[in-house]
Amino acid sequence: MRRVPLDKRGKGGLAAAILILAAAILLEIFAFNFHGIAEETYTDTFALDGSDSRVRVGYQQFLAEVDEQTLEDLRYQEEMNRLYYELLGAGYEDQLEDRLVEKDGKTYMTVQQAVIHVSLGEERYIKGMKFAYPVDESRYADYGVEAKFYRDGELLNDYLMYDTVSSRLDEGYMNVGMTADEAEFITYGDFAFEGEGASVSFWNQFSFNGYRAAFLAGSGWLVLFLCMARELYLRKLHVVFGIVCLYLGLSMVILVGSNQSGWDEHIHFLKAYEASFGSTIETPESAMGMRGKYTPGFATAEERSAVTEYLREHDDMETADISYQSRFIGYSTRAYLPQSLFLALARALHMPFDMQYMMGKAGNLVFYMLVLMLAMGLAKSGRKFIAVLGLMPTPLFLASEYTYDAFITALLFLGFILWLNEIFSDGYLRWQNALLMMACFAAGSWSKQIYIFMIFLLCFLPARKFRDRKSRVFLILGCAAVAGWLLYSIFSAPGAAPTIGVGVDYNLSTAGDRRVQGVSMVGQILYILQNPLTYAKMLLSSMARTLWAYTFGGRAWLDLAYNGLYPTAFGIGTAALLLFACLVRTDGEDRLVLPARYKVLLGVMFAGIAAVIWTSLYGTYSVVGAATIEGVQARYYIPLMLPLLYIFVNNRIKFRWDPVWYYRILFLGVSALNIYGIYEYILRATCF
Amino acid sequence: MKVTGWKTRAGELLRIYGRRIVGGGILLCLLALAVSYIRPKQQLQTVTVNMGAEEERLVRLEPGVTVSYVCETRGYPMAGIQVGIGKYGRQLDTGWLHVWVYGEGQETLYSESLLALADMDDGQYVYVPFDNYERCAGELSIAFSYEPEGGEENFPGIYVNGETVEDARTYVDGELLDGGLKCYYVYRVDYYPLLYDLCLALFLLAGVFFLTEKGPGRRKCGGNEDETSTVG
Repeated sequence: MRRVPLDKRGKGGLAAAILILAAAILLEIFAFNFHGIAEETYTDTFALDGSDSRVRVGYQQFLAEVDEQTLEDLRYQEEMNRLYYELLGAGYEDQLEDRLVEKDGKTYMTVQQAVIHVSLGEERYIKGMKFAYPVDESRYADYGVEAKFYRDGELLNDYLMYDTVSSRLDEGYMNVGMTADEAEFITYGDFAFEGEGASVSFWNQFSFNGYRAAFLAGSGWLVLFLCMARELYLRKLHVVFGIVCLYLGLSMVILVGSNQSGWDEHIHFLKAYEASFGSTIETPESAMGMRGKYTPGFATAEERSAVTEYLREHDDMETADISYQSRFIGYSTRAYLPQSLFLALARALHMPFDMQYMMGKAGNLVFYMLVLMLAMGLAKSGRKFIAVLGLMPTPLFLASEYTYDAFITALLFLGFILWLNEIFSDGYLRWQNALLMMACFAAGSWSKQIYIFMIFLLCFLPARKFRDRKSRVFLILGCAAVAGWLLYSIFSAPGAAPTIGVGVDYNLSTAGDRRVQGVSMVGQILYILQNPLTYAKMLLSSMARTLWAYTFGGRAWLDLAYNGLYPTAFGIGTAALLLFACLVRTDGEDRLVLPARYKVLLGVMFAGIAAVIWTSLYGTYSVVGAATIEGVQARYYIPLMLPLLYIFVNNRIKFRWDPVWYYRILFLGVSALNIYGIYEYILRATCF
Repeated sequence: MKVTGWKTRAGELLRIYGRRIVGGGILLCLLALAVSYIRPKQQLQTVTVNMGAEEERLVRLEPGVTVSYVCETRGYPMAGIQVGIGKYGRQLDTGWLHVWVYGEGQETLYSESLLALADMDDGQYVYVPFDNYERCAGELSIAFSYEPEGGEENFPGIYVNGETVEDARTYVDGELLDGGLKCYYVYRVDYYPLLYDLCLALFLLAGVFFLTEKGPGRRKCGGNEDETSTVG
């Protein structure tokens, strides 16, 4: 490839960057706002209280069957609502039980619907709509609205258009994007629809969406940067990683905003939030909603503004709920410390609550990025593996929300890289390196103790790494003690005060995930002991069946939790990238191939920990004697993927072109996956 | 990664003083563990036992009436109990709530206390601490009665409900109540600060102790030399 002088490249780059910015702005103005420019702009509001002759309202009532899980969710929500109103000092009227009907051993819920016909008078392009329904707070409910649009009597949307009107906002927004002359709305609520104060508005306006324009420009700049960078790939790959990680991660943080779309995000937020205080926890209503998962979500840019306003209005520390805790941060909470630190910082800077929430997530991202950059900086080989794995959509999403997964992955990757460095070097094992390695494995397993088995890799360091037998034996004993101590902490919190009530309610015979009925740890262990072959067969077949999907095939990499899951075909992309990274090498790359015995060791470790994961979920999440193992998610494999990739490393296949293109392919590949996912599942779904 | 001067110097210092640093860390951990064990901290822990609202009512604590609550302390000594006291919406600022705690087959008096009704709000769940709480383990019988002062005619009530707890019974003047006393148990439990971390640190440090060198001037000769630089 012809080398272009830096100044020309610089000028060319600057011009391209300006062009990208201009293209993003033009795209926003003329493509996304085409109807706002080319057609009539308007906002038309229809009252639904019977005073508007263009509106007809009819009513219907029926029974709908409710399954166990839905019922549990409804009761949970009811309890959250009750707590919310108690916090406000208001009485709460129980809505749910009155609506439930038992019939033939099944549970049904009374559904009361209003069917609202709105005549628009003429054909109009409807860009968006708002359904406003102020509800008396003591009758709290999230009201569902299904929308249908017609032109000349023909239904335009044969797919479901549904929105939730939160009574905390009293309104719900929907993007429509259709030319219609009539609309129909069907309401789904806990009580009969009463039209007083309710209205529906339609509009077609020019509105510049800053989120969209910024993401388009930013993504364009990222691609430009990846195409223009040269030396950085060869000399400072960790810097390239840092830039890409920060841009894509922050895009997720900002665009997801206050929507709680991560796995159990409200629980993780609660822990991070509490740890961000000293002994006195102050919880304003905004934080209470996030902890209780009842803060309204948003699905459009307008709704996002309404939610943001709501969060800022209810962030009054003067009326915050006060609770107390020990100053000492429990070991299971420490993985949240980066999030807590940024939350505390945001509070100290008097940021509004929505920004505080995003700052907490940014703390997780920054920690993840820095630890992985450190691992890449220290690595004697395999920097590209860390980059590719660390930038896959799911790990990056986990680093951009409230969770401990990113903390675990980052530290276990670092610990593993330090171990590899020892394998690939000749000197004696230094005590500080061993200590750091063990500490990484231990800290990475604080929240998910199952990964502590990785510490046993140290026991397999070659004899040449030790001055004498005694030092090796002590290291092995130390590893065993650390692993034992962490595993012991699953069943008992060492040193902590006994939780007397919990101790009575949760003995081993009933231990398990509270969300699943019929689980019993002891029962399951007994079942396995009584049917070892049946269980072994089930375990192996479960692991084999999911092996490809959970490793190379995409399930572990392309799941954005409640935002969405990529189509299966994208798994080809993840597999291609991962296999390209581990099977193909470039010139000048520090490619150190592990001896066969270490590959076997890593394979055994991977299979062993995977088997423990499956077995633990069989004990805690599956009904005793179940024929399938429930609850295992592909993301649990993420911390194990770095060791797995090293099994495939070889020196046979060589990339014969410019090595810079090798890295460009990898970085452009993972960036493209992320840009698609963020655009399709986050930006388009919530900020259009 | 290039090795800079300060990194080399730091590495050399860690090599030379490794054993002292790790040994010192181990001693510090052992010392702190000893302190943690010798001086455990205590915290109060409230356990909800029977607080359902179903068939909630007040049992009248008229003078001479005794409400007895017989319970199992769940293996830990109980530091006290929280019970709901109602005043029927009346002014009741005199008189006392008299509480006895018996153990060992209801024959040995463990604790006796008088709580002024003036200090209680209507409907408040009052914490009744037990004297010599270390003894209050196993089966306890806790008796509540009202002691009026002067010519006071009003009397309080104690909250019960329609629910029964497996290891507890409530009696009103010796008759078994159909239901149970609404209450929380309060425990005073020990905890050992930093025990988990100190043990973890101890295991980590002990594991690497023999990887250190003996110290300045006593280094073994020969063997494999540590590498001094890494390739980026």
